[in-house]
Amino acid sequence: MLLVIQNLEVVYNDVIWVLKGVSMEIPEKGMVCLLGANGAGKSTTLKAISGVLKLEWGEITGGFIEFDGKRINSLKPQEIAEMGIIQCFEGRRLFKHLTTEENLRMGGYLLTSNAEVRLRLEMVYHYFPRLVELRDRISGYLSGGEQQMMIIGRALMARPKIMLLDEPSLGLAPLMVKEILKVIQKINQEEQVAILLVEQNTKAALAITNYGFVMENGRTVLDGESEKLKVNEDIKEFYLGLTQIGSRKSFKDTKFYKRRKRWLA
Amino acid sequence: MNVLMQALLDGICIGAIYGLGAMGLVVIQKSSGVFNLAQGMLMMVGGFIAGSLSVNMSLPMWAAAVLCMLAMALIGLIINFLVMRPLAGESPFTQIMATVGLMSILYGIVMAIWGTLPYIYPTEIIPIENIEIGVVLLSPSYLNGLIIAVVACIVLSLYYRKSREGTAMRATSEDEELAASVGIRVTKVLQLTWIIGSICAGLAGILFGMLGSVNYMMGEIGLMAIIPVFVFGGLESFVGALLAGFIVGVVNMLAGTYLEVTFPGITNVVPLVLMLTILIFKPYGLFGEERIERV
Ligand SMILES: Nc1ncnc2c1ncn2[C@@H]1O[C@H](COP(=O)(O)OP(=O)(O)O)[C@@H](O)[C@H]1O
Ligand SMILES: [Mg+2]
Repeated sequence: MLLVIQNLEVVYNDVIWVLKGVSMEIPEKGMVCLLGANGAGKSTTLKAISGVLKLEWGEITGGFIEFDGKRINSLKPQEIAEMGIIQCFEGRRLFKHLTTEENLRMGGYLLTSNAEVRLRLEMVYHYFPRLVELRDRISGYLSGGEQQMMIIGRALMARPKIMLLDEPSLGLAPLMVKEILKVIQKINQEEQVAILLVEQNTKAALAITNYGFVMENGRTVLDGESEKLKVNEDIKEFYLGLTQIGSRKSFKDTKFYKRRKRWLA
Repeated sequence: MNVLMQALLDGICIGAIYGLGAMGLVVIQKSSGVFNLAQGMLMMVGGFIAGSLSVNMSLPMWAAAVLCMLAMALIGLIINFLVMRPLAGESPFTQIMATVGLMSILYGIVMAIWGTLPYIYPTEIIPIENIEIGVVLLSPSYLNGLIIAVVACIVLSLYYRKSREGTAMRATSEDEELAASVGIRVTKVLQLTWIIGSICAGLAGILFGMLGSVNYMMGEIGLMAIIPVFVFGGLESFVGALLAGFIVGVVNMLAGTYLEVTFPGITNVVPLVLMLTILIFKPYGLFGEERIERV
């Protein structure tokens, strides 16, 4: 296994207990999604893996994370990045006053040879040809889709072994979502990069991944092959609080399903 | 007319030195949002170090300046290690208050080591002759200030724009968490800003002292001179700091030449009044960088 998480617990500010038992396994070159309603703790899980949790006053209080057989719980974000774990934050975080290419180069900050930086840039432009003409544009002025392409490209610059993508489709037009997810799939297949994809867009996420984990209230509560999760209508109803993709159930209904879920569990 | 021309020219040169001091503030402001109130004291420390080296140890002025820059780099490193690093992550207000503490510590150190005796440098850093332009005279010490400040501005701007570390500094100033996630060592970046900021201060201190003498009042006078420059310049731009320095320097000189006789003491007040007036109309300073608010 490339990444193993066992019974992970995370506390923010010493008091806010957010993760209460997260367990996941991701194989080499795996294509895995992590689903769950808003506030379930998906982003926190990713931040725990990449180590940036510590910058937000978060702390791992239980369980462990292993990458390539090594404990990484207490490593610094830079050290984790050096090992090949690269996170794309939710909400399209970018260096908005830097140009597209400067953003990409910062993605490859840890690469020591100029030749490799150039090679990687070529690779990014190969996957996202649209970025070529935008390379000298200030990234804050790009469209949402273009920014998301750049952000995935930035992760690709870092010679990743696994990319942690936090809701890359958020706020994008459906066509753009499709295009970007397709490239993510292609990167996984062609570059031997494992992907851990967090998505609210359940259907789309299950369509491009092989395996999925579902979180609720800080715990992983269900996992299985994406094919199987896809036909299991219940996960949408019980765990994701969604009836149709993109539409949230009313509060009343959610409460109802929460009760039923407890009964199921 | 001659008097006016002379005041303009001298004002530009002095302003360039203010600009250099303010660039040191810009470096630190840009990456940690901290307004370093100890910058004036750092200028004074630099001035005294170069004084000891050139006067007491009889080193050539250029060598004294180079050694002084190295010493300032070391001082920046120590300040970062002892004061700023333990406070990383605290609110900018806390950190700014720490620089106030730093201010009095540095003052105490200067008093203990050098006391109240002034230093007068034997020569300039770059040896040049008086230059006569028509009827006005540009003296070597003023021209030294202009040349060195302009070169520093160009070097700093290019470093920030083009180099890998400079880009990483800009990236860190935008989003520390994101910077850390791509492998930038945020603490190293902050350390580098204190080194660069202190070197700017030291150089500005030498150039300032070269116009007259280095003395124990330079810390406060220097700070009062560079604050309006820093604010005018928009806080975050080297070129802005230099241009704002020109403006403040010229205004200062004009006030000194034409108003000081009638209203003693007005010279040092005018830049601050000008600062307040301009801020009312341009809250981001004259050269404030445009911030991108969408996304
Ligand atoms: N930095 C933080 N400090 C305190 N609480 C946080 C922090 N980040 C997230 N939380 C809380 O942790 C819970 C899980 O958040 P998050 O991991 O962002 O969930 P998700 O990504 O699944 O929407 C939420 O209740 C949120 O309010
Ligand atoms: Mg989230």
